[in-house]
Amino acid sequence: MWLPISAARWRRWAFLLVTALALPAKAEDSQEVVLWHSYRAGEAEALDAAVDGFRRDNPEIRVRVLQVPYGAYPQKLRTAIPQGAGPDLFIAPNDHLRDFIERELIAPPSGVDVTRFDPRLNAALTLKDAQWGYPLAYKALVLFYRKDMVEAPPATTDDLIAIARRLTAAGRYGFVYQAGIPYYHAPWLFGFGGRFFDGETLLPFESPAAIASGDFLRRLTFEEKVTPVDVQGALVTELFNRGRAAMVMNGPWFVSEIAADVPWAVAPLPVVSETGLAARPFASLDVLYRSAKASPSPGVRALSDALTSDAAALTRAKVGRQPVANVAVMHDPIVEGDQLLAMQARQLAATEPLPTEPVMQLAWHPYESALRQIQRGTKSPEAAFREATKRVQVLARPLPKEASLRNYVLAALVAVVVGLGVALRRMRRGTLAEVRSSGTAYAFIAPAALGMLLLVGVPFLMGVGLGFFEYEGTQLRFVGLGNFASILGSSDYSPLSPMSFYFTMVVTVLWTVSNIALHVGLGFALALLLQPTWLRGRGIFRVLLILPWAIPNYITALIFKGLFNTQLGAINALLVSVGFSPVSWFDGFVPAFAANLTTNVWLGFPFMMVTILGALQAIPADLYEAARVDGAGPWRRFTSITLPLVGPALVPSVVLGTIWTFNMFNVVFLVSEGQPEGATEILVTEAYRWAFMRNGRYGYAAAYSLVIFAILLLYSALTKRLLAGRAAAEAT
Amino acid sequence: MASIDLKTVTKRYGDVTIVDGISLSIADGELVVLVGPSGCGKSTLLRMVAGLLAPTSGSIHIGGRDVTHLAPGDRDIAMVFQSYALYPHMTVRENIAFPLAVRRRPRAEIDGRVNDVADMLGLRHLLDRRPRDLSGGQRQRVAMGRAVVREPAVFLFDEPLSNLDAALRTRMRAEIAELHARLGATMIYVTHDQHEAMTLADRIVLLDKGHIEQQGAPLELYQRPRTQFAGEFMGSPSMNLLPVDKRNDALASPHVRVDRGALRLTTWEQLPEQLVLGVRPEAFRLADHAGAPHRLDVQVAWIERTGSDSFVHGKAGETPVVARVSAAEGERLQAGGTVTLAFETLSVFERDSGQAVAHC
Repeated sequence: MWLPISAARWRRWAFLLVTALALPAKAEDSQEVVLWHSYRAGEAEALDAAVDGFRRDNPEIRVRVLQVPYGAYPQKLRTAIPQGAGPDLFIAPNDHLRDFIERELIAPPSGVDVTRFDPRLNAALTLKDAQWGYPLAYKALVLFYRKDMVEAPPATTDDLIAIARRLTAAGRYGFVYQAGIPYYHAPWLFGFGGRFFDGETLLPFESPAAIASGDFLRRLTFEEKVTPVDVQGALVTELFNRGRAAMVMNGPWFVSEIAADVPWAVAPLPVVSETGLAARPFASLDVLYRSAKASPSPGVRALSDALTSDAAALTRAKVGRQPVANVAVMHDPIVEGDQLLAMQARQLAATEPLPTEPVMQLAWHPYESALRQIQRGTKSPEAAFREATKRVQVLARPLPKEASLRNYVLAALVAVVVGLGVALRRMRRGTLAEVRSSGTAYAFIAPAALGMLLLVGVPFLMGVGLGFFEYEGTQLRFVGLGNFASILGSSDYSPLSPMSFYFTMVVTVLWTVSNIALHVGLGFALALLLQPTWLRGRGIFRVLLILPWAIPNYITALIFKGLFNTQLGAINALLVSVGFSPVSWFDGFVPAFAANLTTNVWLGFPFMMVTILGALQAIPADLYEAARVDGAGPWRRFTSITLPLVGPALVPSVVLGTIWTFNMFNVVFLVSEGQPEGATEILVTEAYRWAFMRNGRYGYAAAYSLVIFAILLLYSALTKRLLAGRAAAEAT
Repeated sequence: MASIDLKTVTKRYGDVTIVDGISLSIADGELVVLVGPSGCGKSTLLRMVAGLLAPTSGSIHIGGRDVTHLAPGDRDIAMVFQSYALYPHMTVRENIAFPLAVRRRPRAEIDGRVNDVADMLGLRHLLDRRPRDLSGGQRQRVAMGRAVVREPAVFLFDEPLSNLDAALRTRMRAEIAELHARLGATMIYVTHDQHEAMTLADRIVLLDKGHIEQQGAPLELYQRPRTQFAGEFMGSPSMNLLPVDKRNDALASPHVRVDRGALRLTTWEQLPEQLVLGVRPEAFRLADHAGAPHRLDVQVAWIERTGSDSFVHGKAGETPVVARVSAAEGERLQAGGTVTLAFETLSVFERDSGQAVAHC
């Protein structure tokens, strides 16, 4: 209904409307600069200080700073900037450089004299004759050591091994680093004369230098055993702080983790004895980029200059303890007096730029798999790297051919028309009238239905659609059933290879079946134990047994990952203490699968236990009495009364549990990580890897998800039919 | 077939004694009804006979064999539960066959006996149904079938009819009586319903607070209750209790008087001063009948007409009185009026101890 509005009011409304429309235009005109970063703690403090200083000096320019959590950062940049909603300037690492360029997210910045930066860092940001960002800080691996254990740091790798061998004892390691991770292996690769790229193409891992670096890794971990395998960052810190690691290879961030009472010192990485070359780590950079959507306005240029100034760099060095890129600051007495910063500056002379080629995103994971097998001695470097090469080739293979959208649209239309026809025929004559007569009821559920449609229906349909596309560079390309053909055709690996879809599917089914069997079995046993009313402290036991379920499963998964650690885990310690030899849990399919299974059984049995306990309590006690009078012993009472009466209550839980387990991402992804060689991956972790760890093959991942969806749909349809059949049999 | 002997059977839970040293012998083929108010220990006693509960002390013998420590299945008994305790996931056939299947009897024998029992109980057409598809009476019959099929020496019934409606209860009672007559088995039947006890029992054992108050043939309990409790518990409506004092040659109150001569007592002198007269409702007549020596004036409160009889509810002074008269007599009475009732048979109880001193 329209309210009568007086002429005076009209004018006021019109004025408000015009100003509202004018506001955005005005904001664009003003000198506002938006800056994104993902710094935290001291680094964020240093940045804030620099921005505050800039605001004081340039009151006419408004600066808006947004701190974005690191995990979501690249993704957020990728989506925001093309829509014009992103920052003008942003600070990000340099490993996405080429990706940013290819997606046209960044433009070469201006307004700063780059001679203030170390030329090596400028070079790392220069591509196609342009410098694509300003280096703010850099990070490189160096050698930390405990002064109470190591007198003089090793100059060569032979020294390193000799010192480490002397300091290695039960539960103590001479030299600790995250040996399975490519970033930490790179210094050896370069030290042995290897390279990642030869011009534009990815270097095969099989070069003699690469193999020599693999041999060196094998020596450290498998032959000399001075370096533990499979250690995570937090464990490195703990070992060092407790005096169980004499030397550690780590980055500058490690300093903040060292305990106050540990006498530490830092040295450059040693020279590789075989080649005489220094072990050269990657230099990873914090870079100030200019968004491609931002105009090189005076404000943007002024802020770029201020943030990269020597004064700001000195603040970063002092407050954030960051090794900064400005040459002048590197020689500042404060920096030179700081043990860590001075050593970073020294190490910088022997670094390699972080590879920024998109194909590297595909290479990391196969490379990591290879390193893991080498460090455990399960494969020779030659064989492990050969496998990795093959894997990278498969991952980087050309996308499916573009398909004709028209044919598919026609087919989809036909399917929709046929589907509607069938639905209409099935619909009884009165259905529409029925709907109309209960209009109020439908109106009541409409908001919920709309919510479901928006939150579940639309994303689902988008996912279905995405399965028919493939992502290439910056745009989607229609490939029809190409993704499905590639998945189901298993064209790259034989179906028996751990890398094939069918192997993963069989593993997933095995995983699901064995989990559910153990969940139900253990849950049943515990429920029976907890059932008797005379048991004292039943309530306490019940709560204790439900606890594993109440703890977020990724935390449990990480704890179990630690428990299963080959050298340092509690489970092997227990095995050794009772006279068994330690098990390398993630070397073989069976132990790795068993580790995953143990974790998920721990997580899953409480749910079944609670369900079964409820069902048990619903069985009248006099049935058991009647059975006793009828002469049934305990086993007969269990099989003839307990089982058949608990069974029906258990079916929904089993169906639900099956679907949960089938898609139990966290456990597989965090505990075994698919090791060995992806053999313990399940379908959903594979889908994840395609989407987020293999250059964003979203279409392929969506197709994978659709296949998973189809399998689960089939499963629930089968169960439903089975149950309906049983119910019908019971009714007759 | 077997006799049952309970020797000083006691069941205690902590400080609470549920069954207090009961000794009881049941002859082979006898149908004994344990009756009493709730909490008297009758179900506990039955469950000890079944072996579902272990006695705190005492022993239980079935057919001369000490079964005190045997499992229920080894006692050669069958039991019918108040809730029927049918296995809900089994068909009627499977329910009845279960005791035989547990004992691994040959298939053919099981089938034959299940069919025989089904015929006997009229369950033939229900054999493939499940308990939830049966009516209460049918379930009851299945429970009996499950008990009968094994041909046990002893049947135990734990309030088997209390979940049924009145008409069905009467019919099932008749069926149980018939079953007893046909099988000739020893049976113990627990109920809180004295009517059921009266109609079914060879012998009634009346329990109160964990001990036997009185036992005997139904009519004996009814006519010669040994205590005021027994007199009150048996019979419905309950026995009228009229407090009286001993006078020189009569027991009297302001409303009633019974001459010493009518009581035919040998020990008048030993009677205490305070007594209670127990008069069954059906012992009353309207006073215009000849031949009833004792009289009672009653203020009529209301008249309950059941069709065949009329129950007169009223008060003699402060004492409530219920009298059964014929339907025709009931027609002549009016609420609010006064009627003089006459009676001949009565019991006399000591007011303090509740012990009966005379029945006449």
